[in-house]
Amino acid sequence: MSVANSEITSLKGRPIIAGEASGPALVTRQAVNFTAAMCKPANLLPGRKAQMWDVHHELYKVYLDGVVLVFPACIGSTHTGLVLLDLVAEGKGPAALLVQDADSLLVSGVALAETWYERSIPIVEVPGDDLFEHIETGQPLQVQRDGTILLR
Amino acid sequence: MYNYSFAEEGGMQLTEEQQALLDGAEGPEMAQCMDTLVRYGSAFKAPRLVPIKSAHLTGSFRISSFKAYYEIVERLVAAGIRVKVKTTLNPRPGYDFSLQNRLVLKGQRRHEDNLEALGVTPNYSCVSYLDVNRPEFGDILGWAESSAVIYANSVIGARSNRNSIMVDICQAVTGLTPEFGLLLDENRAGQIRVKLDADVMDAQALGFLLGRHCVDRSPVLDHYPFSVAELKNMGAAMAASGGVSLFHVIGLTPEAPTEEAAFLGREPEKTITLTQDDLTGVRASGQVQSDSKIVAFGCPQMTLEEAEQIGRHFVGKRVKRRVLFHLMPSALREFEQTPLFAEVLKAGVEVHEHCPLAAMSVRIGLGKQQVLTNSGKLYYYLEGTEYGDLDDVLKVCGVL
Repeated sequence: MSVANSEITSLKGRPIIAGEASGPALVTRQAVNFTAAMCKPANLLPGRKAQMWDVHHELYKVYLDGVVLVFPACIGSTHTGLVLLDLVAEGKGPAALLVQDADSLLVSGVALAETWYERSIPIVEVPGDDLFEHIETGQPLQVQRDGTILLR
Repeated sequence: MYNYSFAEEGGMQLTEEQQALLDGAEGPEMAQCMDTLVRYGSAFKAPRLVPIKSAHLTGSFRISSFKAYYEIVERLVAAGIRVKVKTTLNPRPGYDFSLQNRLVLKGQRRHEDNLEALGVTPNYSCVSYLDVNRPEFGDILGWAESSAVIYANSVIGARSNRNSIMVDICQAVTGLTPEFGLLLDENRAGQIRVKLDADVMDAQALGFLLGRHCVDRSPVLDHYPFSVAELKNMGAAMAASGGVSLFHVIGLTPEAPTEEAAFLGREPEKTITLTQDDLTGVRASGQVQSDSKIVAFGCPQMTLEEAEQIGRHFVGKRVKRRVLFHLMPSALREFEQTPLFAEVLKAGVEVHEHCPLAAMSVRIGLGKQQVLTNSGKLYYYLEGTEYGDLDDVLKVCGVL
C-alpha cells in the first residue's frame, strides 16, 4: 500500500480539459464504469444521481458529488457520456477528475457539457503511480488550470 | 466562433468546408456538433477530422432520469439536421415488456421518432455489424456501443474509437471523426500476451476476466477457433468489465496472422496465463445458480445461429424457470420461419428482440428475483445477476 508523502505539496499533470476546482479527494485504484454505477433504478431517487451502484466496484454506494475523483481509468459502456454530460451540466457530479489514462468516454462526457451547456469540470491526466502514492481519500485538493494539483 | 480552453498546442487543422460548418454555415446546431468533435479530438491531439464509412448509435433508450442527451437530440431534429452516412441504432429497451416499463421509460416513442427523423436506420440491434451495417477491413467508423466497437476493430479489422453517446450522433450528422487512437496503425498493436491453459473453453467468462486483467490494454490471445458468436460475446464482456476496444487472437483475427504481427514487432507489456480454475471462478456455485428464478440469454442479442444452437436443447422439454431469449430483430424474423421456433415456444421460452439489460434493469415485474445468465456483459451490468456457462444455465432451465 502506498502512503501519502507529506513532503510533496503539488503534482503536475496534463490538463485534458483545463479548469479550476477544489474538493476532497476520493481515491480508488479500480477503474470506474460510470454506466454500471449510475444508470441503476436507485439513481432515479432525488439526490442520488451521482451515487455508485456498481456492485463490482469497491466504491459501491459511495457518492461522487463534489469530490475530486482520483482513479486509473474509465471502463465500460459508451453510455458513460450520457451520465457525465448530465452530472456536469447540472453541477451534480464530481468537482474534478484526476486520472492515470484519460479515455475517449471520460473526455466526451465533459466536452459535450462544454459545447452544449457551457458547463465544465477539469480533467487532469497524471501517468504513472504519483496520484496513488501522494493522495489519500479525504485530502483537500485544489486543481489549477495548468494541470497543477495542490495537495493540502 | 468558439474558444478552446485546451489543445493550445498545435491545434486541429480543418478543411475550408469543415471550418465553415464550425462557423455556422449550416446553422448553430451543426456548428455545435462540429465543436463537439473538435473538442473531443483536440483532447487527444488529433491533427484532423476524417470521413467515416458509417455510424452506429448507442443511445436508443429514453432513460427518464437523464435529460441533456435527449434535449440535444430534440434540438437537432427541430433544426432539420439529418445523418450524412449510414447510421444504425441499438436495441429497444423493451418498453412493451410491461405496462410499468412503459411508465419508467416514458418518452421512448418520442425519442425513437426523433432518431428516425435524423435519418437513422431503425434496425434496433447492438449486433448491426452482422446485419445491416457490415464494415470491411480498414474502414474508418464513427461507432458507439462498446460491444460493437470491439467486434469491428478486432474481428473485422475496421477502425473505430470507443465513441460516446451523442458524440456518435455528431459523427453521423457530419460524417466525420477525429483521427486518433485506434484509427492509427501505431495504436493497433497488442499490449498484453494472454496464454490460455484451459481444456474447456468458456469465451464469455474469458472475456469477463480479460476486461478485469487488461483494463484498457489490448490483449493478444493464444490461437483458439472461436466462433463468430463467441467472439461477439467475449468482446462484449471485455468491454464491460474493462475498457478494451481491440483484441487479437493469433491465427484467427485479421491483424494477428502471427504473434509478431499482433504486437507490431513490439514486446508485450506483460504476459498473463488464464487457467481453467480462473474461468470456473467466474461461475456462481451450483446452489446459488439453482436459486435463480429467471434465465436470460442474448446480451449482445443472439444471432440466428445462437438461437438455433441453444434452442435445440429445448425441443420436447418444459422449462423449469422463466427463460428469456433476446435476438437481433432480423434474426428473430428468420427464426420465426423455422420449425424450431414453435418448439422453443412450446417448451415455455419467451422470445424477445429488445435489450435484456434495459428491460430487466428497472426490475418491475421481476422484483428481487435472481437472474442467471451466460452473458459476461449482462452479468456485469444487471443487478442481482449470477453467471453460469452454457451447460450450467441449460441445467437450471431444466433442459440438460
